[in-house]
Amino acid sequence: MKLENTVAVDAPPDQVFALVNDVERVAGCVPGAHLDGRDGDTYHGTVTVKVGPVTASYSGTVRFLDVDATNRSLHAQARGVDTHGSGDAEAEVRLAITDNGEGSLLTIDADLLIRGKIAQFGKGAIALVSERLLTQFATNLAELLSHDTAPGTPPATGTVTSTDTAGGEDATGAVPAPAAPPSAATTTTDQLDGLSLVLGPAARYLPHVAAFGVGVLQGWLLGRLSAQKKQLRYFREVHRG
Amino acid sequence: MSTTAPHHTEPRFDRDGTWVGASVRRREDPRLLTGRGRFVDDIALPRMAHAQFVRSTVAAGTVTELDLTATRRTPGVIAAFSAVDLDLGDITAILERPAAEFVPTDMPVLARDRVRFVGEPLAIVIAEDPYAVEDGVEAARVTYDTAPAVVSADQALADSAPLVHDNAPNNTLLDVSLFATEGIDDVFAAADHVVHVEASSSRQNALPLETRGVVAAWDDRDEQLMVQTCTQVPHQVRTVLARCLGRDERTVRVLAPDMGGGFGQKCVVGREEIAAAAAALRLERPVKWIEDRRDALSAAFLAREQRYDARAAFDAEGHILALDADIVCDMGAYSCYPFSAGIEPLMASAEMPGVYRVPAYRVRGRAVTTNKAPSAPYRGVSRPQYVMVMERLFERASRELGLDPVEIRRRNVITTFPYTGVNAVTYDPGTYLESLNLCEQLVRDEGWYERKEQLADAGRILGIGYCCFNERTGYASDAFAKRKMTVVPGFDLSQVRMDPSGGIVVTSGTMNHGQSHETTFAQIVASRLGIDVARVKLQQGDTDRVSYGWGTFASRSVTIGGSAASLAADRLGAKLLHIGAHLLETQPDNVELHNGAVRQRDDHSRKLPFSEIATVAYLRADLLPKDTEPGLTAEASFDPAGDGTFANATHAVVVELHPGTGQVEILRYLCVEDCGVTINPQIVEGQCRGGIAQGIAGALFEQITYDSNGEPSCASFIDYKVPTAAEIPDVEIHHLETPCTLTESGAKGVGEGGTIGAPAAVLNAVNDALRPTGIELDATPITPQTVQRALEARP
Repeated sequence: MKLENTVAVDAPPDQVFALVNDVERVAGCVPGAHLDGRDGDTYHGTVTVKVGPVTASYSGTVRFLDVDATNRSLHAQARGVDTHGSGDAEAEVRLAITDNGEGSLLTIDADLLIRGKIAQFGKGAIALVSERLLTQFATNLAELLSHDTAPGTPPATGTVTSTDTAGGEDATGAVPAPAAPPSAATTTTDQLDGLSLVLGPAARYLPHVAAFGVGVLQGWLLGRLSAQKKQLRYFREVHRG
Repeated sequence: MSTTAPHHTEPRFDRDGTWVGASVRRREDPRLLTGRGRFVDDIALPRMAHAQFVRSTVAAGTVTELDLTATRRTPGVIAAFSAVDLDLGDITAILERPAAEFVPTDMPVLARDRVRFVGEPLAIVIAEDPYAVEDGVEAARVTYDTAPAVVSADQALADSAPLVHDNAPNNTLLDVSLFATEGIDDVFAAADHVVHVEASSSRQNALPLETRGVVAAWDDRDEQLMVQTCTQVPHQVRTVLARCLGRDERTVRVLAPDMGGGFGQKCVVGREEIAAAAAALRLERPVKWIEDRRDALSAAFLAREQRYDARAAFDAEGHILALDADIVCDMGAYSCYPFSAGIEPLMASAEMPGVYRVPAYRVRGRAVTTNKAPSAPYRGVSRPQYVMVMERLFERASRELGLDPVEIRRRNVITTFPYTGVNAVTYDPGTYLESLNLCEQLVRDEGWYERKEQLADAGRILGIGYCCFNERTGYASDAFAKRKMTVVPGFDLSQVRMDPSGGIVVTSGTMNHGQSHETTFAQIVASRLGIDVARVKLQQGDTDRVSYGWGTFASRSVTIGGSAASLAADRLGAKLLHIGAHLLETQPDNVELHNGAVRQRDDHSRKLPFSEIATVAYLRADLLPKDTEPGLTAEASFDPAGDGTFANATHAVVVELHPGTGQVEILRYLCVEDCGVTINPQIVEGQCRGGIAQGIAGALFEQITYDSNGEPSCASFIDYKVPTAAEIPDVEIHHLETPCTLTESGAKGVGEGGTIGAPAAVLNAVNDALRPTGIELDATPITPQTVQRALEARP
């Protein structure tokens, strides 16, 4: 699954590149990610993703294969294994920063390979979720950069295009991801329900709809029970007659 | 031949003279409908532990490490075993064919190092409860050296494709040309018309509502491993279990309780039940495994992924002159036992000409192996596919020749019997032409042709499609031997036993998994003996109670099992008459069986109830004739003569296509079937309706898909689109009756027919509706997207 995202950042390219190289801070922008430690070029961490009822918690490494300061690009590879034993995930990410005249243009290219329960659940759901997660990441990153470089500037905007090499259907009709509050960029260790991200507002109402349904059912059952009781009492009376 | 069958809801033997032909109420229903059935998951034994499997998450590769340390430390986990720990024999299906034609492949019970599909079992985890076992499975750590996956037949057959099995070149497990009429190329060259069809069908899951499962326990007193599992073939499971465990078959007892469907998926031996049984032995505790729906959709046996490249030659009058077919079946990662990966291509090759007089025939059938869950037989086995191809060929020819689609069939169906076809099969009498004519008449009488025209003016798009087919039911030992199977199903055994009170127990080696054998077999035996149907009880699904049997598949139960039961009942009847004549002090030819008694032919008032004869046979052996042994037990076997018997049917479908959504709506479904003598019309109709529903599922909805890495993308009902009652139309069924002379009751099999006819009939109807667009579809399922695209191409 190939994903691509571009974000405009209102800051000079060299400044942006320097920030992007700060792995600890960048990791904080990945939704559901947590950085555990470092071993040379390799960083250890976990990423937790939830798609509907399926949660995958990938524990693994991120390695920088190439950091090119002249061209302001970097190439990283991430590998993780689900701590619930239901498959692994691989990602190859290329980041490039170019001058767009007014500031910088951040381009993120990701090639994702996800196996196991989470990939098997709901055709296309993982593609949609990944796309949303990348958008979220880009938004978080842009916000972080904007805050660092020029506080008060409006958050950057991003666009995502995805090519699902798995041959699934095009992910269309998804609602735009909600803009991440600045706090999300700093504390994103909580797992994130990707599907609710995709479903958008509808998902938020579901619990209420379910609660309402249960309430109605309870009412109906109670009604039936009391009606039965009445009937029994009537029969008893007739019998005693 | 007659078109009516007695249809009394409350039949009485004394009035009708037989139970056969009566819709006796299903014996199973009271317990099943009130939740008192006993399915595998209802079984709970003392100290029973629960099993699940660590399964491969990659489609192809080598396991570099399988670490079960954390699994074994998980609270509640009792044990975890890998292939090394259990050291079991492999499951290997063999055909007696040269290496160039068939490559046998070993299916290990648990994968050792090589993994070949996502979901392949690697280790069995056993815990105190079903929750702890899931935690244990999650704690397992497997590392793989991943290899590129082969996920389609094209990929498998491509040069330099990775090999799924190192011993199977070109990923081909079977490559056979069963028939090649000499001079067939000349026939094609000289023919007036040659039509070509490239058709394909998608991978499907037979999808029994009850997933697979097993409860295995060692019994010290019986010195037996008792394995309760939902299987269509208890004795075959016993054989493989004993082989894998290296034990005598005596020490294994397989019992099949009530079953929520099988449809072929449960007529092969699964790896999980063997592993669970081995674990039960190792732990000396009962072990239960119940497959969850996700595993059932991704790791259970699948079927039906086939493609055909077929040509047919016709003369100017529309008579078929030759048929040439190249068949490729994607059988997934392993050969299933006992049928092997050859099951689908061999079935298609052997039977493809079907109901038509085909003078020349050439066929090549191939089974290719891919990194997908393996295939097993599924209701109809290849027949839904090759029938669809044959019907497409005739439809295409009818268009090219400007002939009516029904007329071209009429000119080609077999009308004189017995008929020996180009495929060296002799067909017993059937109603191929009659069913076709009646079906068309019904469609005409209901005015569908006029309505189609009228509604077309209003912009509505209707189409009418037919499918005319036969199905061999009751394969004899000879028929399977012809396919070179080393284990040859065919015969079946039955025992009929009368107890001292006159009650009857029948045993059968067939295995009911929803077909209502308890009712049908009771009707057969009760009719033979002239006894109340309620006094006859069928016992099956127990390898200790039934001496041997081949189970239930290929519509064989009533033809083979029913005939064996009939013969055994006759033998018991003869003994009753013999003892009865002796006790009535009359000549042996002066007595008959009637309404639960032996009565004198010349004086109906002189009779002995069976209970009195049975009392003598067991409790007063001193009163028996000198030449007669005590007890009332008779046994018989049956194996059909020759090529067995062929049931047939014609289906007609009227569809409406909805522009905008591409939905295919079925407005009318008619079925005219001939399964010989119908023993219980209601049960026959139930079989037809259920089969048609599964056929429609294949025609319009179901499709198991994988991504390019071999990851299944249909592991839940979100993605595997199973039709519900809302999508399945009412089906009107008409019966024709050609009593079969090859079976004891005159019945032919009826279990699979519905599934066979539906895909072709639906596809033909859709193509008829699409006629103005000039587009013809040749693949199933017919998705709304395909239909919509075709409609948008409308001029």
